[in-house]
Amino acid sequence: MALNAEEIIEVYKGFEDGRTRETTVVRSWVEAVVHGGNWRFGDSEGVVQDVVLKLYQLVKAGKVQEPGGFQKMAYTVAKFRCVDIYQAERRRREREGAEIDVEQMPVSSSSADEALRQREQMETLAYIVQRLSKTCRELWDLVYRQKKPQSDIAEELGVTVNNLRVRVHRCLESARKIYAEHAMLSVSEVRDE
Amino acid sequence: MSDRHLVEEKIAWYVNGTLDEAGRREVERALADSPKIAALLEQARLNLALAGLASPEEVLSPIHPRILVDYVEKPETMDPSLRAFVEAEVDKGGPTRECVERLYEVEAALRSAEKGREAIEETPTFFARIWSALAASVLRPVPALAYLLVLAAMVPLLLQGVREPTVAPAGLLERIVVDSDRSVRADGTAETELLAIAGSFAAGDVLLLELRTDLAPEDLERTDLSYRSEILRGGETLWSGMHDRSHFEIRADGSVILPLPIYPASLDSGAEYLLRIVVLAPGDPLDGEALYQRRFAIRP
Repeated sequence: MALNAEEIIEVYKGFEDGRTRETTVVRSWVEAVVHGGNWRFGDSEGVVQDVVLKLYQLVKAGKVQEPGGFQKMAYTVAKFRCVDIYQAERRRREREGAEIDVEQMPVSSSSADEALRQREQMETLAYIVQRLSKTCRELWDLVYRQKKPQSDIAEELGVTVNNLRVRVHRCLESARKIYAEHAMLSVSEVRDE
Repeated sequence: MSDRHLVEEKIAWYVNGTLDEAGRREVERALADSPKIAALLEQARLNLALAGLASPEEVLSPIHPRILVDYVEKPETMDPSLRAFVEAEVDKGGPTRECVERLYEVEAALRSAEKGREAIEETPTFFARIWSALAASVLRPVPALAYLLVLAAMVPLLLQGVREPTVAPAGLLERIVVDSDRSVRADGTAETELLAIAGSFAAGDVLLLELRTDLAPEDLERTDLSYRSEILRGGETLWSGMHDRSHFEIRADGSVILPLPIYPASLDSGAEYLLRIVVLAPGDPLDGEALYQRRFAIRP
């Protein structure tokens, strides 16, 4: 039966309290996404558990701004995670022929944490850069990767230094907004809290 | 433009280390007074740190999961340049296209599940269907009120014992459920247990016999059969009536009932009669078979 907003809020509250019935409902939402596409995960059950846990972390961290939209949020988070895991599994399959599989190498716990942190930072970087306009992406590269001074960049682009500053400032503002949106549903943000 | 804005615009070069000394001091002075400048500085430092992690090619492919989900869920609200960027990646094939295809499959599955739920919600429950059927018949407000008034008028009569011995007040039918003869003697012949209907009846009194047949509901699905009820005395048919399947009632327990009104005053008190239902199906082996029979008598 389709739930209305009040019922979804009840599910949200029950899930937050760890009640079995509501957790089962949330789990069924996640399963609908995980089993709804031909993802062919190596461990579908593990993916479901992973998403349910992440939702629980988000709920506990107070990241659900509208409890009435919790079902949609659960679908969205499940989709994010499915795409993420699908891409990771695909990369792993592509590396199967390689002599050294970096992800299979034994690592110490500290280096494992560092690798995880770097991977999350990479994801953040990819999200911000991909969301930026093409012009901003080019400026990003010139300013932050190539670390060029403003006069060189202005000359390269054929604009005044003042004009360049305004453009870069706008891009920085955009990046801030995008980063804030990303942080709303970020696992690392939850973990840090 | 304010000084603060001018300072904000220099932050990117402050963090990449190419701002001149005067500019650096300007940013550092403003930093203490402006939370916004502090936030922009933090973002610029993050940008710098992130930019050192990967090449532009690594950063741009594959498309980030959130952007892909947005592209599939609400492409119309997506920034046109971002949408074009995603579409170019999808056209290349590879993981981006595969993920988009999987997401479309998920969307279709969720929509399908939602439609399924709506269909279930639109299908009335058994009780809702019963109520709907009743509401369309005797339970409509006006007839229901009339029935209630009639019943209210009858209650005093019922309390006065007018029903004695078995006859209902005028206008009300006395209902008697009559099972068919199913018991079999040891010698294999059917036992004809007599149903005694006790009472003294006046002309015009009606008894409603509810003949509980051995038919199953699915037996009534045959449209080529008709039925005849008969009252016999000594092998002679005294009365008969034709029925089609619509005359039968299917009760909640699955039993199939034929309601049959009789006029007891027209029957001889003490005499034995045979009630039966015969199948009429010309050309069918069932033709002429008695589906139901029961002996009965009127007792004073």
